[in-house]
Order: sequence, then structure tokens, then C-alpha cells
Amino acid sequence: MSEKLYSATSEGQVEIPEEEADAIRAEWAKNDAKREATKYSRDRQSAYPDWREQLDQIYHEGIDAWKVSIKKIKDDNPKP
Amino acid sequence: MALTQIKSTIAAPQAVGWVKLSVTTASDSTTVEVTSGFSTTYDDYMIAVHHAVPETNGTELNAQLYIDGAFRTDSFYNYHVNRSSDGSTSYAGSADNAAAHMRIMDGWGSATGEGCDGFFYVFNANEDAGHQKVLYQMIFDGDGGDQNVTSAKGVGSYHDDGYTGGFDTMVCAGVRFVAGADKIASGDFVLYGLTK
Repeated sequence: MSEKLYSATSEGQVEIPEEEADAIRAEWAKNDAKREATKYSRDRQSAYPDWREQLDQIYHEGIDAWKVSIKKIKDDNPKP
Repeated sequence: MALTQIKSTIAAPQAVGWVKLSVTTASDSTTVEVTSGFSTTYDDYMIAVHHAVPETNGTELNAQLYIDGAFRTDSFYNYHVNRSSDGSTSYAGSADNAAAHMRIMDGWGSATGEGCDGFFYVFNANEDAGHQKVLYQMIFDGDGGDQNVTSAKGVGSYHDDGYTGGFDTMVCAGVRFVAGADKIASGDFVLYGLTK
């Protein structure tokens, strides 16, 4: 049997009816799957340099050097 | 003639500005339901979130509205939230125009000392037509060595497809907060109404 789920209300904790609790668990599972599937994208976002730094790199080192830097981030965080 | 007595009645003081209506405390709660205090007395409401912490590290904080007798879980929510932190000038965000909730923030951490504070504002909750519109901003205080701070700012609405589909009312009578995974370990959700 699944663990009971509770809602906090201003009157205290109230047990969530099982049917609604099942729907919440299903939503959690969906969120988990979505979060896992999109993790690479968030990891890439945090790894990319600021756009000003990217433009600076293109100006000083050329577009090919920039592509190498960006490709490394993509390769380090592969799309599943 | 000398004045010997003055009789007068002093009117009872009227609350002005924000009036505290209820406090809901999360304690390993799957949802936090803020309903007590919503009425026709106030049109605008603010829920102040104090140090809310999830059970699962890095999850999302989502919200749903209580309309026509239930917290709506159908896909009539729109939202856009953007996130920024002190470590970068880059912005991340998420958005949806057919969601089952409004995303308040993501990357919501649960390490010791971490927590989320902020406000969730409901405009004209008693408007019985059209959309219900909300505005929110959260501050997430990280606990890592850099003690970073993250801001999540967003807007959301629940649109009236449900209303035209047979709702009796579009009045918002509550807000429910749900974590994207697992429970909300702790935190206070304080409801205020703005005096008309």
C-alpha cells in the first residue's frame, strides 16, 4: 500500500483521498521523467559562457575556435 | 456657560492596508492549500512564503488555483517564469500555455540552510469572468560555499476555457502549492488581503 499523503491547511494536516493522491504520484513520475530528459539542456545552459564572452572569443579567435568551445560543452552534456 | 461635559462615540478602528488572514504551515506535506481567508471582503490577495523547503533537492515549486469548487488540475494554465542568480548575467526560464499548474520556481534546493521566500499575488480574485491572473517572485538562498542567491520571477493565469466549458464561477477562492516531486518539508504560507 502506498504511503498516505497529506495537505497542509490552516487547520492542520488533512489526509488526501487516495484517488487524488494517485493523480499526484502520477504527476510526480511525469515530472521526474521530464526533468531527467531535459537535464542535458540545463547543464549546457549553465556551462555556456555569457554571450558577451562568446562574441569576444569569436572576435579574437574566430568562429572555428568558438565552435570547438561550444561543441565541447555539447559533447560533455550529451542529449539522451 | 462653562463647558462641563462632552459626550462622543469613537468609531472602532478599521483595518487598512494588508490584513493577515491565515497561516498554513507545511510539515512533510504533499500540498499546501491556502483557502481560509478568501472571501468577497478583499479583491487582491498576497501569500507570503517564508522559508519553504522541499524534501527532494532540486525540484520545482508549482501552484494551482481553487475555482468553481476545486483546485483546477486541467491544462488551462499559462505561465512564464524566469530565473537569474548572482553568479551569472544569463537568464534561464520556463514557460507553458497549456499546463496543469503554474511553475513558480525550479532548482528548489533542500540542503541545510537552503530555503525559498517570496510572494504570490492574486489580482481581483472575485472577478467572475475571463482569466485569473497572478504574479510571483521568489528568492532562493543557496547554501553552497558561495552562498548564492537566485531570483525566480513569473506571471501566470488560469484561462476561461473551463468557464465557457461549464464552470459556474471563475472566482478564485484559494491557492495550492505542490512540489514537482515528493513533499514540501517545511515553510509558512501567510495569506493577506488588501483592504478595498
